[in-house]
Amino acid sequence: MNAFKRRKLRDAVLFSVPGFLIFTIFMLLPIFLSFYYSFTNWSGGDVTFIGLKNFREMFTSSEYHIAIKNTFFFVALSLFVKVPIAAVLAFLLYRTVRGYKVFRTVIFLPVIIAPIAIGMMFSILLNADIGPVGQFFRNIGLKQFDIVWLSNPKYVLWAVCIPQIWSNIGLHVTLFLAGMQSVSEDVIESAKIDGATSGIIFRKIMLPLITEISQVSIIMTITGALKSFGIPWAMTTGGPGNASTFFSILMFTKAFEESRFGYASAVSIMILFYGMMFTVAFKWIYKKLLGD
Amino acid sequence: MKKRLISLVMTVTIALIFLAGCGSDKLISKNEQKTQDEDEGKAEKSEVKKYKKIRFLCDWNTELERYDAFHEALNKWLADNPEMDVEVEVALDPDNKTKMQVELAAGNIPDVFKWWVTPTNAANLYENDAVLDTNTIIEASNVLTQDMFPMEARSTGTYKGVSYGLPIYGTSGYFVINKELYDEYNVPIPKTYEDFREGAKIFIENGIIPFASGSVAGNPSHYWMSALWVQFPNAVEEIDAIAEGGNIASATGISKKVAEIIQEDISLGMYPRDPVANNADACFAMVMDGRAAACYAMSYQMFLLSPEDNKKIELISTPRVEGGSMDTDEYYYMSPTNGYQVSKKGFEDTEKREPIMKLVEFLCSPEIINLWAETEEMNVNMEIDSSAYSEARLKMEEFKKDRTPYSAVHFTRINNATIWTEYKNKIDELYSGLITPDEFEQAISKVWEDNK
Repeated sequence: MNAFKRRKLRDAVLFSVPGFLIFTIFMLLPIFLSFYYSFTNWSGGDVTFIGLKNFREMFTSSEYHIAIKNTFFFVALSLFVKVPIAAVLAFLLYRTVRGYKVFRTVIFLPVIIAPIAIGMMFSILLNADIGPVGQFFRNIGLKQFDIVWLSNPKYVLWAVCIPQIWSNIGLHVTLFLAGMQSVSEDVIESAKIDGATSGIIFRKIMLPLITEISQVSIIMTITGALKSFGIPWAMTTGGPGNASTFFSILMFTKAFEESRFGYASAVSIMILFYGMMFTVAFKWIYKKLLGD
Repeated sequence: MKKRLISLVMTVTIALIFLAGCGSDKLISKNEQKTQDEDEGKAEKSEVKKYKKIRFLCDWNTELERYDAFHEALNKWLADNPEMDVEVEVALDPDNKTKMQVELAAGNIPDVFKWWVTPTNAANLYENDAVLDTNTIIEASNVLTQDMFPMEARSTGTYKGVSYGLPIYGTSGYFVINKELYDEYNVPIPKTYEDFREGAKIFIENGIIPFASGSVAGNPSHYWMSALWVQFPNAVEEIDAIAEGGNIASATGISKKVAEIIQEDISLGMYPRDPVANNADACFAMVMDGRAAACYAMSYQMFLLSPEDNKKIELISTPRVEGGSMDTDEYYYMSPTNGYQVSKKGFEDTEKREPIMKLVEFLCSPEIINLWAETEEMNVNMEIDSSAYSEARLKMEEFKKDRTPYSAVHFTRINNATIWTEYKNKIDELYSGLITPDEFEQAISKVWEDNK
């Protein structure tokens, strides 16, 4: 290796070291420590190794099963509702000439609002006793739509999922929009000249050309849904009972309300496992669908 | 050469920026630097030898006026005692709970902190031998005496036979009615639960919520549940037994009876439609706003009443349930729940022991106790100046006159955090109709079995 290449390598390593250190200390090390603590009964004091007891207790507990069901429901809702709507909104924005910046800002605004603030806002809006949503339906005579969103186990999951989708969709719209704007104008123009409608341009031209962006959006959707916490916590704290509990709420409750850091670490390891599993499965499916 | 130099400088700068971001020293402004220099200058001049720095954690919210007097008193005391070096930290509920859990896990809890003494919020401190027992604190002090902290007050902070911390104040519970609404709709003040339900029908017809009872992670519903529970025969003994490891589900079927009362109230439309969305403050606000006719409120809510709202409300005895043996005209709920805890690790550091005890003695001094007495139910045997009592405070004192306090509620007797959390979850599920009274009784019994 000549001197120039050695210098380049050295500079590259030097510049990478701080980032690598940060990544190791704040990302890798906590993961390994969580993995270790998941096999202990640590509650803040002495650490005692208990093997798989936390995992056994977790897999046989009803609250864990409810958390799995709720979390996977939200993952599915995000994948099949949020991502398609984000893609459609992005295409509509792409086609918009007048007011484009205003619409883009409005769509992106919820992304920058703190999740706790959004949760509190929706908990007031949807409060069946004092909230304006229920009051509105009562005033216009549509009492059947005056639903008890937050205390009725049938509806609470929808009540906590929809604000999360609303708060996050702007980010995905922006992602898709960036991808669409990178598609060559010539391709779109040619399609229009050939008589393609907007729908055909969207489905047959735009979407295939932004598959990489779609992948990123889908992976972000899955991992974000698995970590869902702020909005449901602010709205219902996972209640009533565990009816709107997600993985991260279960982890938080076990760690900070019951002081069971070992058990909470086991939950966090499962969140990591499910995240990796979904990502690997999705990439495999994507590859099969699109071909190598 | 130039490029190499630039690369090296940039690498070092980036590394230093990252390290600075991880550091704990605050960046201080010029003015603060000047003040610090002046202070250091003064310190040098007076040659005061400071004790080792200790940490004091409290929830004296700097945004609320009522806590200004506490901070002023503490700052004055620190100025009068320049040898003290106290780092004051303020964290509010529930952030303080998360902070405490993290610091306990790190083995670095504050040296002195205002905290609950009840095991529901302090069991992890007791389990991990992180704080001092009451006797050790008192014996280490030249000022505090055993008489100041009555045995009854210590009972709620007792865990596995040992009393921890210094119980200073507590909470009392009241059945609060909006007297204006009762007068407007000619509803008689209820004495029995049947009267209460009869009156509720009139309120429901007029679009008023008869009883604002919510359940957000079991709050404040667990208090209301206990207020009904304790009326039944043997209930006090059963609840007391929970502290010694007894089942949280009643052996005499009381848990099911109380659950049946609550579910029937809900089916009659007596409670808000959305209990999970209405916490204690929301329920209290409904009564003040005239949207609800009554609620079960805690003393800390009463203390914050404005004089105008105080005129609207009246405190009455909890309506007597059918089959109950307690005469609710003779009792009121009150239990010591809060006070100070002292870190065992801090105390065992010989350089910190003296400043810790000085701070604790100041926090238990008449000056601070009287500040607490303006807004809290006190549990210490000390002379308290009642001239600063608010009208709401006087109303509560009038209610409590000639009544006997009882402290047997689940909040003060369940000493396992998992059981407490799960118990409150089951109350939520009862309120939202997810489980029947039968299932509630079986569920809380199972929670106890699985976690005892």
